Amino acid sequence: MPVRNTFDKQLIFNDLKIRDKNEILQYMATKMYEKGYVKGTYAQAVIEREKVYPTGLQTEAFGVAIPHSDSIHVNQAVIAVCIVEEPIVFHVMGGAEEEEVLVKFIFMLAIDDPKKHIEMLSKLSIIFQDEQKMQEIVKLKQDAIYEKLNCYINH
Amino acid sequence: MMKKKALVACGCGVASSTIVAKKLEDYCGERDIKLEWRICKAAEIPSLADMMKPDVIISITAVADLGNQIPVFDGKPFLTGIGVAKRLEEIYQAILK
Repeated sequence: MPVRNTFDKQLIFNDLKIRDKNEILQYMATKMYEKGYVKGTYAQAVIEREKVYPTGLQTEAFGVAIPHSDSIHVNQAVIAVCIVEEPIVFHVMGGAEEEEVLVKFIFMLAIDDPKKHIEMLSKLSIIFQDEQKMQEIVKLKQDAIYEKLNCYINH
Repeated sequence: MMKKKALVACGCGVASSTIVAKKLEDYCGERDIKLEWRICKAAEIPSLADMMKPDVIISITAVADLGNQIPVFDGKPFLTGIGVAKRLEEIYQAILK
């Protein structure tokens, strides 16, 4: 079954001038809130959770982060994407306190029911583990990134 | 088909644990093992392990020794893709025991 509407064209960011991790998380979450995907409590929940359970991951191609919250803060599932020009320091998922990773791709996840989105989450991880696909995506413009991600997540 | 159980944990029991569980389910399925899994928050591991009696526990965050003989694995390779083949096989071998 194809995964529809996983991404939103207006929730793909690759030209933000923000350099601060929390400010970026706040910005992305606010845009998701404005589009009705998440509740007003989502932004704070994501930022707080990132402090306790960081989500940075070093994959073959880039540092990736998958910030998200508990499902109670979500109205409708979506993945917002931000590709930053200058990589941002995140802490490593499940790592020691001092373990850091320079993150180029932020996939902010709004998940209402993980059981419903098993395929989507599983496929997202297959994409960000794929060096070739990630190298390709990073060079594209906003619209093309959206098309490409949708294509990859549905195949 | 043999049935086995896995408990998969991450920080809030939403995203990472789901990714890990699905990959492990597929790997086991290809080897004729029906894997039943449950995702949970890391903090819920001790109580759920008692209740569910899983054959294996996979966690993204560090887990204290439960003292109950259930093998515990770090699930991070499933997310980074680095060393995932080796980790899958290790878990599979632990499940078979």
